[in-house]
Amino acid sequence: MTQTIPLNAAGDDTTTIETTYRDAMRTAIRQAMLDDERVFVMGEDVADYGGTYAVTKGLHEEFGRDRVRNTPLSESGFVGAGIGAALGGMRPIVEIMTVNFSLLALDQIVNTAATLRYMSGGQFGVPLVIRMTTGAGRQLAAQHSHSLEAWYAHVPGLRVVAPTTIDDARWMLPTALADPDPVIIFEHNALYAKRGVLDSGRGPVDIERAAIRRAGDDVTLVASAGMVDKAVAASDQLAELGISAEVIDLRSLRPLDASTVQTSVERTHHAVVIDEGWRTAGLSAELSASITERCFWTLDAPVRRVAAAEVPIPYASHLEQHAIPQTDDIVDATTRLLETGR
Amino acid sequence: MTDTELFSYAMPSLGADMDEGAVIEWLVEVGDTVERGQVVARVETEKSDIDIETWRGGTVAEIVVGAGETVPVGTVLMHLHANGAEHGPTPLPSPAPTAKPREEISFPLERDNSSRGPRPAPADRAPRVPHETVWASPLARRLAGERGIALLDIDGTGPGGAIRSSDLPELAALQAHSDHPPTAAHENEPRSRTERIRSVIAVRMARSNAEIPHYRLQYDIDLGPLTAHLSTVNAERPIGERIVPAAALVRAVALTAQRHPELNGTWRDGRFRPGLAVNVSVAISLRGGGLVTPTIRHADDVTLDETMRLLREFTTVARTGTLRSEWTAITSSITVTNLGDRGADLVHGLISPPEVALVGFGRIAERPMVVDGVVVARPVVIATLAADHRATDGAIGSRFLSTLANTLQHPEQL
Amino acid sequence: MNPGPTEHDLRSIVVSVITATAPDVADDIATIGDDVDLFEEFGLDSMDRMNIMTSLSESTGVTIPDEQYPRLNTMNDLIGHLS
Repeated sequence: MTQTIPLNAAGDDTTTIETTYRDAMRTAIRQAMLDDERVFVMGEDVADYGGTYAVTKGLHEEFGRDRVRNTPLSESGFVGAGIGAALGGMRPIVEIMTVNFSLLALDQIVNTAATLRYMSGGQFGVPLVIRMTTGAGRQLAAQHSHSLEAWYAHVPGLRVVAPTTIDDARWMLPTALADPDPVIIFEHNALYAKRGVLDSGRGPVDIERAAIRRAGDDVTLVASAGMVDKAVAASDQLAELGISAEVIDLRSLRPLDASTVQTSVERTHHAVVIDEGWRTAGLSAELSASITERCFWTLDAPVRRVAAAEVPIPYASHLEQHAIPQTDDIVDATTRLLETGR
Repeated sequence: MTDTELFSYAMPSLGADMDEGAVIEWLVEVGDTVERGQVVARVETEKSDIDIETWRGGTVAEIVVGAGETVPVGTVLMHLHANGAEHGPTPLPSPAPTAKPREEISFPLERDNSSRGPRPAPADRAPRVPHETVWASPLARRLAGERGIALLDIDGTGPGGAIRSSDLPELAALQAHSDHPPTAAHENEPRSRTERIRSVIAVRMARSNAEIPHYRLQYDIDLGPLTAHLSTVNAERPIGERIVPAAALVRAVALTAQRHPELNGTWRDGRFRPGLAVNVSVAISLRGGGLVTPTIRHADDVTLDETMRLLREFTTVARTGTLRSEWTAITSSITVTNLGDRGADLVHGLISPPEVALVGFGRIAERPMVVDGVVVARPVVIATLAADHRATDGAIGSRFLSTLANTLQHPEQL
Repeated sequence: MNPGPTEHDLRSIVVSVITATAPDVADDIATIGDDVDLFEEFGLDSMDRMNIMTSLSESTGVTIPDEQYPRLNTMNDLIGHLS
């Protein structure tokens, strides 16, 4: 059972509890397993060890080793097994330790999971959920710290989501499990310890619309995963400078909710896209192009991008922090854009 | 092949405070051929009646808004079958099809390049039209097109002087209007021209007084050399070409502003933006109250004779009520107010936002002055400067007035 | 010999010139006293004065020297100078 603390001592508010992103995610998995016996968890060290980021901690004790399965260190093998189980009628949740390691399973994900619906003329679907960690900031060096969401957002046949709030951590999973096709959930490593209030009575949420996390009038900040909270922090600093910034949390990276972004930019006339991935051929490039295509005649300045430095993420803490976008970088880019148009 | 396209001419924005206008009179009819720059209609605005010009030549296809109708800025007034591309404000590209017919293409069976039709020699192609580049954001371009603002005349604050929407003159006015909710009781009553001008001045001057921390300086300037010079010059000239001191004062301000760029420009978004040109606005009072402020573009490059001619035209036109849009729809960088030859001794004025300086002249009068240790009567004008303390300090303002006084000691160089 | 313009002719020339320069005075100029300062009364400035002097000179053929301007302020002054 997850640790849950009622918001008020009287306990009369049963739907709102304070918790962490990690616990909300675990609650989601546990509830899914209680609700549907086809659901099981598979991945490296997910059982006794509880998963590298402790998301599945305690689940094997409750559900047993058949439904919480440790796998060999072979991403291609266990993702392939997950695809097979999904084809056979199960609802597997496969955990990959980091997006870097998922490249070993790229063939299974891109060539098999994403294609079978199309190649079978609609006869077979792959109702598979793959959870993987993304992002830098924990000094895990280049082979564990990259943000490769854009690689998957590129591929038709996949859904790609990135929950950033406690509610989304809890309530995106049931929607993803109900989807008849593969869904990839990106969890930024910096979010697991994030504390917040969970609306435990909310129910499943959509996994294709962006959300406005801060309303504003002067500029639109578009972010996802680990960048959303930095964009919100930047909007607070910008407010002190008299700049009203709207923050959009993309939530879904494929499909991209371009219309929510468009509606906002048409009102603010300025856009800053923030991405922890690299700039070149990345998610920020796609967003920038989409905004320019849709909003050209309402733009009062070029679309600005704040993205990771074009290097493998360094190990040394100061270099690592310098390589990825920080709140100050967002504030700087936004004030410069509004003041000088560049 | 034809280059004709249908061009929609919209109610232009003819000044910082205009959001609607009434067509008083059409000067063209359907079927008339018009040239770029031709006055096509007369429009009544809050400030004054203004002749409006078209920036595309062509043939009048349809007149949409009849004389007597009041419509918001941006409303289509008429359609033109426009001639080939000319530049000016760039309207939104309409999805109208380009009328160029596609070349007939035949598919040769053999892959022999020599059997293909000859490529057109470069000389056969349409000549490239030389294009004066105006850097502007898409939004600024669209708004300017909708409101009939000529981008060529606007100083941009973006990279390399690129124009952004906040640089368009009417946006400041929109802000001013939002500060000033209309009084419901009188909303539906038609207002006289004087009342309309009064309300615009009320909004602008209240904003100036509330927002701008003014500092004010004054300087007694000996106009002996100037009046002597003008007497000599005027004696030799036919009456229609004579010059009055007021024109020399405006010309001197233009030259001074050019040498003191810190006072020539605008204050926007919390900082000073130097004007790209010296565009001098001149306040002209109207009988019965109110004033208009037509602008002399690039006034530092306008000769004294031309300044005089423009001021006479401004005065005549202000009295008869039809200012031309080229005088009002541009960004002015400094304003001159002149109380005239029978007014008060000096004026402590209010800056016209978003400018940062206002130069005022009182009456030119014989006053005692000490020259070489002797008190003598000299024609003197008291010049004042009202300047925005956010943009400059008193020392700069003081140097400005000193330069102005020196400039007027050498009237032959005006 | 043609007689010169009568005082009545000159008055109507002055009225039409001033009205052309400043149409907003049309109603008042008909009833203005002969010794009232027109420039003061109608709020006309030095540019108006120059416009009026130019037109008067052109309509009547009478030269008006620069230094005379400040002395020509009333209907009587103007008619007197032009006759």
